[in-house]
Amino acid sequence: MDVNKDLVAASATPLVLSILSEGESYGYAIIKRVNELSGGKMQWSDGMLYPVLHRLERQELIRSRQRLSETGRKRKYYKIKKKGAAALKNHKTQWTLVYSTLKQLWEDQPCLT
Amino acid sequence: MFDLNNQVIKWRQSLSDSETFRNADIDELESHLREEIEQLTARKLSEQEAFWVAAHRLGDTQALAGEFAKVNTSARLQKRLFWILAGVLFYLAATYLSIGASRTCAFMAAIAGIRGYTLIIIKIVCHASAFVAIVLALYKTIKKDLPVILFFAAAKNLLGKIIVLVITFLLISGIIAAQILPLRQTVGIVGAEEYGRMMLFTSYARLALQFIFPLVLVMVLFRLSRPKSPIAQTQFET
Repeated sequence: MDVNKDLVAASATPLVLSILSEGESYGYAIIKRVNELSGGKMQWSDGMLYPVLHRLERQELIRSRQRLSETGRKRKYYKIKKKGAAALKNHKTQWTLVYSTLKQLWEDQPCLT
Repeated sequence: MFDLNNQVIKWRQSLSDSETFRNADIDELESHLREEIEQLTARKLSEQEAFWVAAHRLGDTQALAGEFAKVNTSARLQKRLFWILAGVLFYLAATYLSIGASRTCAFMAAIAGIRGYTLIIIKIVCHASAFVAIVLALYKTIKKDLPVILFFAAAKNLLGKIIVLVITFLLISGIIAAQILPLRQTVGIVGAEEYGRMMLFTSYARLALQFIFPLVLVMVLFRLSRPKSPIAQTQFET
């Protein structure tokens, strides 16, 4: 089952920030990483990643620079900034809270019935 | 025969038809598209199949434009402001260049010994045809997106900006000179009284032209509102 579109959109920011916290990366590689981690079940249309990256850059959570790849292609590499790392921490807290709340409900349910 | 580069150029065009993408965005998306095509062709897909799959994975042009519009609000505004400014400048250029042309015509006709109503008619016809010719020429240039490309190319570096300033200055001086010199000469030849009468008739003609101009402008605007990209509608050529 594929992940719901709204959930994919909501998780885009923490996902991108988490991947960039592993190190500098570029659009194509970020998409591949998401697909690899989710087993292809969190696929959003590839182009939608770029507006997310640009928004994060404008919010000064990440920064970008043009660089030539090993194959000589011009690529825009993105790197997480301190402010981005702090924002990621915040996202982690929120997502963990949502997850643990749901988990408790779903685990408690059998006992109630 | 499928030509990958040609298809990529068409695909780029379909993106730049939308106001929301900056050139840097399109470059970044193209880099992504080409990378995906490379990966797919390495997996034994033909270039054509790879292009189709990669373009499909990148997403529908309209949907992408919608997403980019949320982030690129200023790019959109900049493009619109550019066109407004270009429109005003083009109108001024067309007006003053046609005045210059009509005065030069009148001057030459006066030298040739033409007087009276014939001279007036020559002046008015010159004015109107020069105006129409200039507007058409500018319209042709606009359609090619040439001024936009040149403008942004010039805006990139200091030398480009200086060149634009110098050209603008020369143009303005040329326009002013074209209006003053033939005027002085013609007044000298035909006399102030006749020239005054000529100017009165020219004013009537210009009044008429200024009524016609908004109509022409509306028609041009209708032509300029480009149809939706054929690529976005019919998908890519096979």
